[in-house]
Amino acid sequence: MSDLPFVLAGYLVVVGGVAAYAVMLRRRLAAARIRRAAMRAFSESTSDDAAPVHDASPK
Amino acid sequence: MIRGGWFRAHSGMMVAGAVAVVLVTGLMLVPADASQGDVQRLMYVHVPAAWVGYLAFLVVFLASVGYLWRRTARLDHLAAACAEVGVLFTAVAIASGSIWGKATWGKWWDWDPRLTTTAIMLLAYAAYLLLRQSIADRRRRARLAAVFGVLAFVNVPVVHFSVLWWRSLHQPPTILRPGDPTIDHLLLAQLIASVAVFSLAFVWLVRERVRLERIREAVADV
Repeated sequence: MSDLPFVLAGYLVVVGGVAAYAVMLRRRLAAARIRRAAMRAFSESTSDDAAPVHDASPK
Repeated sequence: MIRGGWFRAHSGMMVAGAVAVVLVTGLMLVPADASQGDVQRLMYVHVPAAWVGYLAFLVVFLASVGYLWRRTARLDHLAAACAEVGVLFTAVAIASGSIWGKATWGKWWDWDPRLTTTAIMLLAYAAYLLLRQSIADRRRRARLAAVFGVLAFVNVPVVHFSVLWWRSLHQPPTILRPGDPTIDHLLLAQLIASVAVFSLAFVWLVRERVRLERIREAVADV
């Protein structure tokens, strides 16, 4: 079976390439979810802080 | 009772399991081809990868036409996701084809019509992804990418029919051809199973990539 190294290399390239992309995609997705949660938390906290300052300004 | 959420949570594992099954059957259970021997087993990953590349670029084309017509962000997200996944599958199809070429033709690459048009297709969709990266304005990016997605698809049928239109080292189509497929039924069943499972993997990857695109836009909107 002299073709075996070629066959294994071909399978490795395809499966390895797709699996690496899938893992990378899951990591990008997890990082994006963390960023979205952080941005939401930040925007909520800044809007809470802004209210008293705004209310205080006419005094 | 199994809920839809369970399937969504485990869909990646199920697709990975299905891929593992067709890899094992293609490598170990299906008999070797009478003329090419074991190297023909590369067909069970090379052809499905090339098929998914075609499918992805067809969806890019349809989503781009849809975007230009309806201006829906969802269609833009779908086109972006399919272009990225299509570039991945076309790249691994070229790499596995190159390995098959070395085993059967004695060389890694030849400026043969099929190989050359496939390389052009890969470069065109890599340029599509670069175009998307280079434009900050969301609507302008979506509009220009949609125009590019329509124009780039012109090459896809040329890739498929290149082996029929010109003299080529690459073998002619095995299944998508006029008349009966030129392949043993057992090998054909394995090939169809591999194509079906790779198509499932494509759907899963595109779904995840579309989610990523939506979250990115939501973050940009905050």
